Amino acid sequence: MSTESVLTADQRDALQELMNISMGQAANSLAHLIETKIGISIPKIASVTPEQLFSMISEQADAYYTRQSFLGDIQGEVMSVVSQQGLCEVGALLEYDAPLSQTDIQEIILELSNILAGACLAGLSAQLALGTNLNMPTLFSPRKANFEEFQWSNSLVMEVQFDIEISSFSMRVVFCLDDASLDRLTQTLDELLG
Amino acid sequence: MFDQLVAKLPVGICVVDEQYRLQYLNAFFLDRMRPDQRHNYLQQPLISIFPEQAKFLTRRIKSVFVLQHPSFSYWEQRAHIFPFKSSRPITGEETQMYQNMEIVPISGPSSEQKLACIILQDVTAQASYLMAQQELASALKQEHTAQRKLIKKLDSAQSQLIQAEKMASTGQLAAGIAHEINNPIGFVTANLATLKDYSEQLLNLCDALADKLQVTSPSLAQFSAQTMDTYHYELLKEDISPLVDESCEGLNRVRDIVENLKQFALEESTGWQLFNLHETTQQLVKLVGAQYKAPVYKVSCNPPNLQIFCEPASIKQALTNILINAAQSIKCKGFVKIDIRATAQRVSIKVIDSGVGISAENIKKIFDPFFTTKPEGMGQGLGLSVAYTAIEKHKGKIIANSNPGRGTVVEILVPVVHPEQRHECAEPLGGS
Amino acid sequence: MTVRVLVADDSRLSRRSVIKALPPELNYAIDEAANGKEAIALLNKASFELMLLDLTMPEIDGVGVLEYLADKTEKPHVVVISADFQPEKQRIVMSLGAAKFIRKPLDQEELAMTLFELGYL
Repeated sequence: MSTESVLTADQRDALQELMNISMGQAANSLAHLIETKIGISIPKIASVTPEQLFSMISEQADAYYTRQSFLGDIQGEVMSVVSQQGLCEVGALLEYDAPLSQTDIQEIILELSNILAGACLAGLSAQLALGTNLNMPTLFSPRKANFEEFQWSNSLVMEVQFDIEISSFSMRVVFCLDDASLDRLTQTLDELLG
Repeated sequence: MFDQLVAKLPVGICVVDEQYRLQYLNAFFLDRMRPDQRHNYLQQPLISIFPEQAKFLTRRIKSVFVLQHPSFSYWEQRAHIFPFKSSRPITGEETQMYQNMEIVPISGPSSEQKLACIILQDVTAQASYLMAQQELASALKQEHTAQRKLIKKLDSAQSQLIQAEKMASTGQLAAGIAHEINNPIGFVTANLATLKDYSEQLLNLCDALADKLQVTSPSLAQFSAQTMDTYHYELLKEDISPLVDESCEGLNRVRDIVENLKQFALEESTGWQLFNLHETTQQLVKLVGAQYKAPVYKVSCNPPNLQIFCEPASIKQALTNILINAAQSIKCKGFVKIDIRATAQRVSIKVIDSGVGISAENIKKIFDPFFTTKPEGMGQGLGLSVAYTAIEKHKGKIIANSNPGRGTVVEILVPVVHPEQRHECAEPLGGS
Repeated sequence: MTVRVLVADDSRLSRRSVIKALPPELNYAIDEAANGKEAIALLNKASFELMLLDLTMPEIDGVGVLEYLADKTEKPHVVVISADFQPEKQRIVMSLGAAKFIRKPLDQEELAMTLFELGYL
């Protein structure tokens, strides 16, 4: 994974900070909604090949996956990796009755992905004064074969991780941008950096 | 114009304020609500009109107000949020509407006023199509599994057939060998009888010589006695006759077995012919009894030496299979009884055993091909099915009754056929 | 008069925007730290009147720096400027002796108001 080829150190730093701010907002929103404390990681930014993206996504065992696309001034896809561990506690926080049915679990995963990915994207877009719209998330299971068939060779990914303190639950959100959006993003970052 | 447009949209639009009170409903919603609810709904709590999913709706709307971010719900996880009928209540298969829902944050006329807009999509057609597809897929999968099972059975049937073919050729081979063995048995038997004579004469000769010497030459007599001792004459004299007798008896047994084998295997002829059921059953019992030694076997036939007109090969095959099953059902001690009775119309062959029996559940299936309770590889589950087919060929019946733990009775009933009826074969049992 | 300020944030952009947002009425002697470890090293070397501290940082995070400062007698006013503004986080930060919590993205007015409250203006 490299960042040099895609972003300058300043651009990368700025993007990381913007993501950090967005995550803070996302975490605060979710914390408010489920009345518990959310831990946030330092965002990781990298340029990856489909192969690397696959191993990033699938390094965690026992996970659920969702993806959703976003359109607008920048376009791409968000993949969320939701831990199976601790999901029951999160379900309880979201006022689901135990035990969770299979459809309850699916609904919770989709909702969490939507909330966190949505808040991150909204925060990022707002700070960069870019318009984006997130589409509805869907469940998916990453298979290596899928990733090998991707039409791109390199993509910018931003990875953030959320933890919920009272349980072992964690969730990673990976943003992938297409090339045109990457140009748009670097341009906007440059304007911001003055 | 926009009012009209929104009212006519093919999706449901419902707007609530932060207290979840209704601010707007479009025609999509109104058309599907109870007539008494269609008026005075403004400012009413949403969940008082749609209490079905109150908890879920409240939670999701709250999330939209708090996060200022859309919330989604899909029919796969939650099919019916609003209690609406299918869009095709008359011709459709689904009675309830399948729904996708999106709730988006919007602002009211004064931009401080936060509102949430529920957008409801009728996806019944999609859902019902998808569910039908899934059903089809699972049906196909089931069929596929069944086919695989069948293929496996066919494979096993094929190997069974190959085995049967082998057995048939082995049978013929055995018959050939049996024939060849008969010749040496013949002369060995004859020679043995002669040897018995010769040995007796030789002993007599020795005794006579010894007696004579006793009288004529005491010194030679002593020598003779010593020599006889050295060669264990007394022992030889005692042993030789029982040895020869035992050998004769053994030879007789070999001859019997070979004879049975020959008869059984050689009658491979497929055509219909007169057939001594009594004798064949006795031979069969000997053959099966040689392999399964636990039970005591008994054959009774009334009238004795019953001859029936049939296709001997298949009747024998059927009897063999039933007999082997009966024999196998006896683990250490018990009996297998074959009771043959004939009337003018039909012949009954009952095979009665005191074995482990067959459960009521299994007994319905014992004539099914491939049904077996034996461990994998120990039986193909074809024996009784073959017997069934054979008896059916004779327009007969085969009936099994069992008392688990006590024993089993299998009865074969075949109509009596006279040689002159051969071509029209037999009337089915109970037919006239 | 010159205020000695330590700006601790892992993001250069963020440090720059913090520095840019400082009210122009005062003079500043500014040191920068890119993580908690660097910040603690600088705190050991020199004394500061004011520290503008981020929370989410590598090596040692902002909470770690506050914990380090907790039992010190000589210490700067710490203003936490963080994106992680969950109420629980703010409570922890304040209980560790921070003077003020400001949300990111930083609002220049809010920073000026805080410095006023702390008596710099």
